[in-house]
Amino acid sequence: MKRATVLLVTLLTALLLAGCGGKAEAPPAEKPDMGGMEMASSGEKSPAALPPVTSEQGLFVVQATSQLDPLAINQLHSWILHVETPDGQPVEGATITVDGGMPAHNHGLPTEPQVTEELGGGDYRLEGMKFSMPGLWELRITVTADGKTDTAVLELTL
Amino acid sequence: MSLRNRQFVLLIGAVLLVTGVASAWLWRHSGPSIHSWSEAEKAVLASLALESLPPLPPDPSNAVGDDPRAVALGHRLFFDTRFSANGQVSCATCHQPERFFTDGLARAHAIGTTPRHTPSIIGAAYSPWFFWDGRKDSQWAQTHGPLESPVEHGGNRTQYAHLIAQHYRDEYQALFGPLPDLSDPARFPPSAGPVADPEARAAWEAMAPEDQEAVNRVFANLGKAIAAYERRILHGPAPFDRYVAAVLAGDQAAAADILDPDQVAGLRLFIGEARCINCHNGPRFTNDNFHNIGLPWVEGDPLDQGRLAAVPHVLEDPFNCLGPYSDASPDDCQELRFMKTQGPELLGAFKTPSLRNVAETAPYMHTGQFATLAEVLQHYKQAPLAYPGHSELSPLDTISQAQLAQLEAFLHSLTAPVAAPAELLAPPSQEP
Ligand code: HEC
Ligand code: HEC
Ligand SMILES: [Cu+2]
Repeated sequence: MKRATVLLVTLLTALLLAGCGGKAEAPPAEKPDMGGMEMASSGEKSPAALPPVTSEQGLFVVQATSQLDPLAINQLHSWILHVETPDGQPVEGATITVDGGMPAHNHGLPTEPQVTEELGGGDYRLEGMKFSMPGLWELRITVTADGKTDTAVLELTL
Repeated sequence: MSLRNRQFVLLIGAVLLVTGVASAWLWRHSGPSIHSWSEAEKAVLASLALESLPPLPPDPSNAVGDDPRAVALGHRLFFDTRFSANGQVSCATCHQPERFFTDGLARAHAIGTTPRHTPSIIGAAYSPWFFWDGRKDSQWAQTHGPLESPVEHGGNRTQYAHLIAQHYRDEYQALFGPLPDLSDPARFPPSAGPVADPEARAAWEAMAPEDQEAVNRVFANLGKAIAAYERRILHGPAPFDRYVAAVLAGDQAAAADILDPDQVAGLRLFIGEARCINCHNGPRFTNDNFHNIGLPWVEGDPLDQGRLAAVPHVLEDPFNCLGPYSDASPDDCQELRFMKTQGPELLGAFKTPSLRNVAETAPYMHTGQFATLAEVLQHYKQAPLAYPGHSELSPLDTISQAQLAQLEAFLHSLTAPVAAPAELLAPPSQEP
């Protein structure tokens, strides 16, 4: 059966060639499973405007927007914090402190950021922010207003 | 079989053959290979490449930082051995251009031996902090450390001011305006400064505050000229950077010619499983931040608190960014204003060094604890407990010895000639 032979030879040649081509190089290294936190390349990067977060006891809603967009490591930059009550009233005259760090690495922020200015309408300027590593960071934003204190915990990935 | 039939079969055969060859080609050139990286990984590679390093931003605290006349003066000062106690020590004694501005010693040696190891100065101008513990916040203020250290240059402020007046008067005045009149030795002793030497210290303390002030200003300006020179000493593109360019251009054949498979495997570990990129990130392979990595304590060494002890120094330093000798406005001093001043991480923490040229700058770490890169990598694999403080490392249990060798091979791809005008890499030809 000449027809079959021709076909078979053609197919074999094609397969062989394909096989040889691939063999010259090793397969890619397996992606290590670092539980998602340690691979710089894993995890979606957060947008500059983080979603609003309600504080632990439900007193405030904090929305943080980085003035460095897109977010990047190793650059000193500021954020705008918007604070309101759960029913949408801007919180004015608040005292705000910020700390945080990388939960997976057990270290804090590389700087001591401070709220330096109240901008009105529930907005505050936070200066001196920096992230020194890729991965998941936590920001703990403690708001004191009208004698009440509550902390909102924001998460972001760089 | 008719002729037509046979032609048909041949045609099909030919088509199959072409498809086969084509797909083989495609497989070879675009299919999985060690040089194919995901989009996310490509972004990480790009972030490490020299291409992504912005041009050196101005240093607001140093008004002459980018003035070519200051570069020329700084160049001469950097190599001038008269600025020392014995006339034999210059910055280049320890920061030797032909050794990537290091000295090859575990601990530096000039008048005496320093407690720490000499880092390179290439590209250091990008860093917000200087010295292993970051006790200076500008490159010009940094110069005061070695100049006044009894084991480095071993001199003092009034001595240096007199030397400027004697040898560099015109160059200095063109940049900084009139020098103070230092001719009265009762007011400006030949040897005075807040240094270890008791006589020079006593002479300094006896000086009028405004005379001290005048000398301080010359001392600051001298540093600013040296810093202007150092700002021209930058990193050049290494094989790693060419590799990234090839990968980003989709040219795997070119990529394969630049790094060998071990180096590529090492790179993959560096940005992945070995977690090096947590600290050695960005185009200079450093986050310029301070970390305790649990290095072995060297027998006989005093306890070194690292960053923790440096924080009060930099805050109180009259030559810091907010001080009277800085040209910056307070708004330009964000790094200092928002500096981390407390936290357990500061104890025993030292600045992450750049890894560019690291294969050429042994020994390693802040006291030169390790003689080879292989020793460094064993340390990262084992991640021993720290003393003092807490190590940020955890053991690399899943990384084999063969993979450590791949990491080492990768580090060799970061070597590149210094990017600086050739004349700046040698002593200036003309003595004044
Ligand atoms: C005796 C050898 C020696 C001499 C001389 C010397 N240095 Fe250094 N240099 C060192 C050592 C050691 C360190 C690290 C010291 C530390 O961190 O405590 C260092 C650190 C530095 C750094 C900090 C780099 C960084 O990334 O933090 C710079 C910049 C520098 N020197 C520039 C100079 C200049 C400019 C001069 C001349 C005025 C000079 N050095 C003279 C040994 C020397
Ligand atoms: C937690 C942050 C961190 C991580 C992760 C890290 N390093 Fe380092 N690295 C440092 C610091 C800080 C130093 C300087 C420590 C000292 O001298 O006290 C350093 C020093 C080095 C040095 C010596 C450089 C010199 O010029 O002396 C090499 C080489 C090095 N690291 C390679 C690596 C490799 C490879 C990895 C991954 C296996 C890695 N590092 C992971 C922070 C880190
Ligand atoms: Cu971390």
